[in-house]
Amino acid sequence: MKPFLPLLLFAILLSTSCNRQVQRIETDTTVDLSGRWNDTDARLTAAELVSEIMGQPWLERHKRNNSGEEPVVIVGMVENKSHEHIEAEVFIKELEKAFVKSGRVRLVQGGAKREQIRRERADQQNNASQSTMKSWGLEVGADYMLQGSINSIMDAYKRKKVIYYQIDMTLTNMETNEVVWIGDKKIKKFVKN
Amino acid sequence: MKKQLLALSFALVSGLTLTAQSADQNPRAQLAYEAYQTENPTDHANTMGVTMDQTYEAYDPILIKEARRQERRDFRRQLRLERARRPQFIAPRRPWGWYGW
Repeated sequence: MKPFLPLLLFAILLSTSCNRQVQRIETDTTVDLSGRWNDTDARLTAAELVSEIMGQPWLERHKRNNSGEEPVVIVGMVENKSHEHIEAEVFIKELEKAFVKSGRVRLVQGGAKREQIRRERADQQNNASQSTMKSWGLEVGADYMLQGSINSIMDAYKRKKVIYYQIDMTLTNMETNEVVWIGDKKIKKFVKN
Repeated sequence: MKKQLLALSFALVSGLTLTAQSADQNPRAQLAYEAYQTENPTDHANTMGVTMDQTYEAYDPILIKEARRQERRDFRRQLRLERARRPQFIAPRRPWGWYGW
């Protein structure tokens, strides 16, 4: 028995030390752990905003006033005024995808990605052949800018807390400053520790 | 002749519409445009398509309690280190101070 004792101890050590489990789950599964903002909140926000923005009259009105032309949208800034770090890109990308997929709204690139494209175009002026070189001054100007804000209210007492998030998105006419669409998503959570 | 008249009236109407549009524009529009020309384009690009964090610290009793606990732990650790570094170090005791050890 004695020679097997170290082996047995080693086996016990091995079996107790490797207890981490990783399980793959569906991306639409709701898993709430801490009560903070999570992927489910982002997904619900995206779903609500996509259904709102694509079903509102601003789209038809734009087409009517612009001889059937689809509106061109650029994504602006999202202000996070909540008490947590919330990355808006997660649900903004869903909106962008809905625009492009539907074919009813055109999307132009903005921000750092647009800067990168312009730099590449500038590079083409020196390095690309004349037939493939892209010209300056032919970018599509946006008709509308999509902007947003994230707000939160937290009420806590002892081990209980209620967290309220409100995500507001607005679409503004670039020429007239007219707000043509406002969409929001409200989320309320009750957390008991 | 009829066609020419039609074309002339169309040109007249279009011309009038264009004049009406430009007449409605603020005469100081160029000034407004120039005011924004001084801005660095990269600064503007950095604000597009991004989330700007202006977060605030919410009152959460559990987190506050945990922060205080951590502060106490850090203090005791510093005290232990100081004592190890200087064997002659005598920590003040009651009533001048008691550090919970």
